[in-house]
Amino acid sequence: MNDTLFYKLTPIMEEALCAGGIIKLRPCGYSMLPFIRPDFDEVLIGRPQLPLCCGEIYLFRRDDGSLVLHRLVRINADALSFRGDNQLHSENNVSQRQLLGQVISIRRGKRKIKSGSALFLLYRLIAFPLCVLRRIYYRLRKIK
Amino acid sequence: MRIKDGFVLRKVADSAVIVSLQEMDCTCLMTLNESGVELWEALEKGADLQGLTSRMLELYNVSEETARNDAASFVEKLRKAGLLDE
Repeated sequence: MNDTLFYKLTPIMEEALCAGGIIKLRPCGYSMLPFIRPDFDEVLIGRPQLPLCCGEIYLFRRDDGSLVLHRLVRINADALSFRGDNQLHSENNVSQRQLLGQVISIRRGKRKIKSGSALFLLYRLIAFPLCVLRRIYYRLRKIK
Repeated sequence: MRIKDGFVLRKVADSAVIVSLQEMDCTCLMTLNESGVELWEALEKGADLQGLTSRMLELYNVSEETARNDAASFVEKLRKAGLLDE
């Protein structure tokens, strides 16, 4: 399937999620490494569960129409902040109406990592400390 | 022979895709060409293999044998993709 067609499927994805269905995607970006491997892992997504929860992974649509699967890191009154596990900077000012879905599980080969499972929670806990460690590491490299 | 519940035809851009609204698999979508769309819509209205053949004959200048073979091939593809209830 080409990317143009994929992005035009967004209204149908919304329709499926609103109808209580789930959607299956194979992410192609590197921003959620090491938790989600591009072009390999399959991600099952359902409707976002309220209240939203920091540390969970959500699917949202940017203003340019691109779809992003990132971890929620901050909830403000009217704006959300997301960051990929492999990223140093957050994407701020995402509104709740841009949210499409929430990751239910990740399938890696025959293995299924469900939201709420020990491994899912472990990544949720270490994603932020790892990010901080990466910041320190990159700063040290700059000094050298 | 009928389309399984939950599967719908949606037109996006210049393409027609069949998706399940219960479990939409974006990793493996079936797209239809113009005649595929016609046959799908005939199936939605309850057409059987004979009905699909008749629809092909209405739309295209082909022999009955060609129309029947194409309709049967279409049904077989849907069956293999698990989109039909027998």
